[in-house]
Amino acid sequence: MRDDEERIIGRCIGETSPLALTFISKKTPKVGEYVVLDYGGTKVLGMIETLSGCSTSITEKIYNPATVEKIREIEGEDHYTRGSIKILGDVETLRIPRVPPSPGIEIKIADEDTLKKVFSGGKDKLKIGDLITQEGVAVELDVNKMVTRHLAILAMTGAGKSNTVAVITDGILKFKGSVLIFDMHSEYVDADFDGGTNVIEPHINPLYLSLSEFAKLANIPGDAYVQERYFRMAYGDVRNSVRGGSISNKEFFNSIQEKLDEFLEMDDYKGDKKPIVAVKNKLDDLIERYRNILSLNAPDLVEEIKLSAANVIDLGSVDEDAADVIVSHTLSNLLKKIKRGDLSFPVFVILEEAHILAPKSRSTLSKYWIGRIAREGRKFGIGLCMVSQRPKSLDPESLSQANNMIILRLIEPTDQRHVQEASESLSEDLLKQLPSLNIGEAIVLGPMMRVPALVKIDEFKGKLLGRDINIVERWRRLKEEDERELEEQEKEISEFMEY
Amino acid sequence: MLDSLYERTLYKKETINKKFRNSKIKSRPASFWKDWQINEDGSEFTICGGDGSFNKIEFRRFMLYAIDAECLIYDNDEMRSLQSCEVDILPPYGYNRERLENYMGILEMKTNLKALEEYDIDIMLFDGSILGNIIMPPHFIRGLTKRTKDEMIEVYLPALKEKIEESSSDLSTIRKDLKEDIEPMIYLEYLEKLLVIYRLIEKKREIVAISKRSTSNSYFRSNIPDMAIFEDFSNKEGYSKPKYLEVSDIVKWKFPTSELDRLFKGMTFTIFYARLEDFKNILKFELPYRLSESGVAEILEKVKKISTDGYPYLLKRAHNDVIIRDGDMERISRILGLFERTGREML
Repeated sequence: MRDDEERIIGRCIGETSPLALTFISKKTPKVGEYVVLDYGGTKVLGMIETLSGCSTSITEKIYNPATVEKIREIEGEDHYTRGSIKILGDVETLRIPRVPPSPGIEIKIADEDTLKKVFSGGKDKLKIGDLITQEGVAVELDVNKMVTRHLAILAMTGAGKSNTVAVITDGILKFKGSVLIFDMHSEYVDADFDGGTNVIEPHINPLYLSLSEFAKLANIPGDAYVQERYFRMAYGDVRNSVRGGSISNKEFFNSIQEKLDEFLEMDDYKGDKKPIVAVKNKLDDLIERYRNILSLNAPDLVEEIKLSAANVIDLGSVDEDAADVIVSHTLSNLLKKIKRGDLSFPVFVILEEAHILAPKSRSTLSKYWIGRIAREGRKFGIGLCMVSQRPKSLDPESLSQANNMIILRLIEPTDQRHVQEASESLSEDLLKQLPSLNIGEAIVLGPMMRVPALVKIDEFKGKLLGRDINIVERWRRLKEEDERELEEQEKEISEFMEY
Repeated sequence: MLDSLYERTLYKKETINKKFRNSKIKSRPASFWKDWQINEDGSEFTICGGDGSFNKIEFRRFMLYAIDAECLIYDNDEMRSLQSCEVDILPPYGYNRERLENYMGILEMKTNLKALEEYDIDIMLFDGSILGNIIMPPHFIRGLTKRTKDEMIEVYLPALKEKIEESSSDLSTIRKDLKEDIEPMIYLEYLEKLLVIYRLIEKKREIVAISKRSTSNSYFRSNIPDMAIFEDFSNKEGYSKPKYLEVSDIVKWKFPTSELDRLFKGMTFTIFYARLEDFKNILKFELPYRLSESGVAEILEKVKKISTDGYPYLLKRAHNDVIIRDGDMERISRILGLFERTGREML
């Protein structure tokens, strides 16, 4: 631990407020570093939000690099640092003091013991990583608050979202919890989670689908009322007749087609031949596209969810519409079953590519259930984790329900602004840090943390498929294989000729 | 600004332009000027340079003033700073601006003197003109009788000499004694300034006074300053052949004490102009001793070593450091708790 003298980095200057202050320093502190200030009889914790290196002599008014060189030669490293500090509260309770610090007071780098106390997640804690600025200080999340107050993991591609999801999942499994991952890119299917991975095939039993879910699968738009009416009539009839009995997929769809054929021949529906034929075509198309995921023998997906496991619904092989149906169907059943007490344990649901499932500017089936779970989930023990690389396309209503956030590198200003609008605790200055984060570094904030932190997320020790492949290596290997094959052929030919 | 001033400007445009064109330089500076690339001196030496500043707030009953001065010392390794400052009030009499200029000059020179005493200085740069400080006594003391002046010297000279050692210009004890009798006070301040210059010259170091804006015309005797003539003639690095000025040729009156009179009247000043970097401004150099042309070149090489954009960096940095702005004066006034009307509140 550094002694007191060494930890002093500068002094507070100018006007201060109970929430923020400006300071100057002759040292070079880091953005995100935690500091302590002694005032009002307590030790107060703060975080450095902005920093700028200044020089009284090398100013913007100099236009000649040679001048700068000469000044540096004469003055040496004569510069100072000016920065702003956000006051986070006294180190014990993290309550914001009611008085502002007096100008001139010392700013000290927070010692490890203080930080360990602040960043400890309490009894039920999940270690997510270490502070970027103070290595060796573990950052722990309060699992209860993370699950009940929902979470959003936002970042550009390749910034470390999947690793973060894996670390969180692994952490929850240590508590024998249950995680349900909607795995859009089959990244977690082979992951070695501590409690085991329960891969759930995305099979849906058409009999359990709601009419709107089925219509969505069949690509019958919500405003095609006539098509929807004939589809409802045919589907309803067949569903009622097969319930309880055993029937194959083929028979089920054939029965619907036959029902539609009957409508075509009926005089009453003579004028609607076109929409009935359209429904028939769409059904053919549906069978062709979703042959692999539709099964009348498939159990309810929710019943497949296990406790103490990472339950991964592998959506890698289905298109976005099918994924929407599966997610919406699963979420609605999950909520119903938990409410009714049919499912006895809480579940933390992770939605990969949340901007596809709950987009900002169009309606999807999942969006409604995501919204419902975001609002009601905490009362019944369903936590949501929305993962997205395009926050600006994510439904703001859903995003704002995620009180916790892990924001990794985000470069696009619109994305940043969208995230800030959804989060009260993401200050302008923290927002400015987003583009400068390295891979695996994140701003973590929300009720699951006592104070916001810049965190280097731990690396998930198990295997993940989402990592970038080495393209050049792959080309090189293929080329080598070709050359080897060619050599062998030449060898065989020459042996044959010799023979 | 009044609209009528625009009209007046348009009306006089032609006349003023004509006057401007007629002021064309007719002098021939070629015989004095030498285009010469000044190389930076490679040797190691210690150099210092400084500047001073003052500002004031005029209240109804008194004038609050603040003065500061800095001398920067560079020894090839690091740059150090010596600083002096003063804050006080003066009665709102006349000549206050001139008096403050005088105080500032004294403080500046005292800080330089301190640097000469505390460090092993090889060259001292001085902002402005030493000769100007010596040969131009404040016109407002000319009304004092010789008797009064002699009495003042007899009574206060020892105290003044003692004060030279201090890095301030606090004459409050004497001022109290004189009951704010303005003219004798100004005389004493002038005397103090001469004593400091005396001490500086007595140190016999290389003192180089550098002026950015000189109206001196000792080269061409034209109504256009020498500086403007050289500026117009060449835009290359180089310098003018030095000119030598004897103080005794300029000053026909006696300096306040025989000691001062002897020293100053025995002095020769070397004057030359130089441009340290192509296309940058001409500077006027003034040395309180006689120096040959080769000596001038050596001085320029040394000054060039610590110059940026054609001007000595130590002087530039000190100038920026010492500036006392109006906002600074307001802060000083608030610290002192002075809330007196200035008379401009209703504007």
